[in-house]
Amino acid sequence: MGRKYRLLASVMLVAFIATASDAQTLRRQTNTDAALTPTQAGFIQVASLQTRAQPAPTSQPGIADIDWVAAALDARRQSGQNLTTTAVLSAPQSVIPTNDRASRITQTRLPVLLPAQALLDMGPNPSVMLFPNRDFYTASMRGNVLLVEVFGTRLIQVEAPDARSVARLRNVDGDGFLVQQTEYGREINFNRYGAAYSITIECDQPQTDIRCTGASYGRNLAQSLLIVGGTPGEGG
Amino acid sequence: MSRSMEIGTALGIAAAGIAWMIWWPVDGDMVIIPDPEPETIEEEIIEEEEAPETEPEPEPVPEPEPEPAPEPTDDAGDAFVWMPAGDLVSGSGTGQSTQSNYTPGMRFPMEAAQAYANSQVYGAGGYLGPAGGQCDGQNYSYAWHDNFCETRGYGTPMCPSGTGHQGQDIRPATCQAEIHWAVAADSGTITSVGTYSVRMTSDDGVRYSYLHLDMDDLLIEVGDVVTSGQRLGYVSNDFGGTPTTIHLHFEIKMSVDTGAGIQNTHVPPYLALVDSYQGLIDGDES
Repeated sequence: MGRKYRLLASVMLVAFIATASDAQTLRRQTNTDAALTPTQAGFIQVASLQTRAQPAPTSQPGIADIDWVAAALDARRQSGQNLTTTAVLSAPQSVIPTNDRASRITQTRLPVLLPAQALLDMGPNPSVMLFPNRDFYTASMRGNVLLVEVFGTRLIQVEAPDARSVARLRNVDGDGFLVQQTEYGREINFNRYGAAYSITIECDQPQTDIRCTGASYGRNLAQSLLIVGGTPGEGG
Repeated sequence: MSRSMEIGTALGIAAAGIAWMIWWPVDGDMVIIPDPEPETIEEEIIEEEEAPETEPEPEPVPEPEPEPAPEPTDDAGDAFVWMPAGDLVSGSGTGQSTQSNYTPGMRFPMEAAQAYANSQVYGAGGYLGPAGGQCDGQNYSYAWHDNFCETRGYGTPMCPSGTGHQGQDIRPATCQAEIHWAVAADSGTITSVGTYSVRMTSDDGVRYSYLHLDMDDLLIEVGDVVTSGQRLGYVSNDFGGTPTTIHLHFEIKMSVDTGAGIQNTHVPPYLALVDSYQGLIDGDES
């Protein structure tokens, strides 16, 4: 009853603990399977792996080069005067933003484009606001049953996920537009002067309002956009 | 004594002498006589001999594996389960399986940590879904489903077919309008409020669209500067008179490098939603 039995008891204790640990693991797995179907459990695993496997987008967006020469030529053509690098251009045909923040337009380092008042077709007194930032801006125009946003950016935010997406994004029409139907109306995307612009049109009745059911309204707006500001700056 | 014995005795003495000369400890020419063994050594030896009477060193027992931390759960106590990105409801189109989280750090656009991203059209109560109403329990349970590329006629360049849904539908915790808050996904500016939409541009130039909020009780207006997580309004089913279910249609638009200039487009929001929702459940967001 001395050393031998104590040694044997120790060995048995170790063996028991190891067995119990395995059983505990098995019970945990069984419980997991009871809470989720095996298929669901598999989904979690697959999905988690997929999340980790995907590359993250660029953390710091790049800045696209702006063709200020082309912008100056267009501005001269539309206004009959020379584009100065810091002054807001006089463009009386365009809609006129009324919010205070619009005065920051000189900080924006890409051509700020706004639609012509005559083509907006929003009635006599649409609400027009401009939210300029250094690398992008948003103009918002709201009528009774129609909403139009014009957005421009020089930021390069993400890479396309695959070659097919790249091909589609490059597949612009003869005017350089990507015209898309949306749940709320139309969206026209295009690149001009090196910046990316969007016109978003939302109709109260997107299924029946011809400004949303057809492409011509948005297309005309995009073709008539006027340069109302923007200042060349670093990176641009 | 015989002659042979004498020779043997002589050889033995000689061998002992040689051995003495070889192995006897010396220091230089001086013979070192070892100190007599201390008495204590005997005692120690005795103690060592008695050692078996003490407890033997126990065999190392492996540490049992610690119990894993409990799985974080949503506000209802359920574990978050989600289908992989691009895995649409069967028969609802082909998803974009190559996705990333395009807006890391985004705040989940609903306040509560209980919401269900899935299909309205192909879910119960949807016009192409199984029988049942929009409040059917399967619409308010996991697993989440991506529906960015769900079959529609809307131009969506990042979808395999080139068309899709352009956003992700998310049902709130319960099938009730005007109870569950939609919140700002990031800090930015409210750029427009339509009849059934709210649009926000983040300080980083990312555009977020919220559709179908309760437009009569919005907490924001055009031009407001909002912070991430700030309440915007209730999730509802406003759609300018067109019937729809109680849900948030959520879109993200960003500029994409095409290699031949940049273009703005809708990007898949699913993984940004998954990550931000997981963060909300884990308590990383408030």
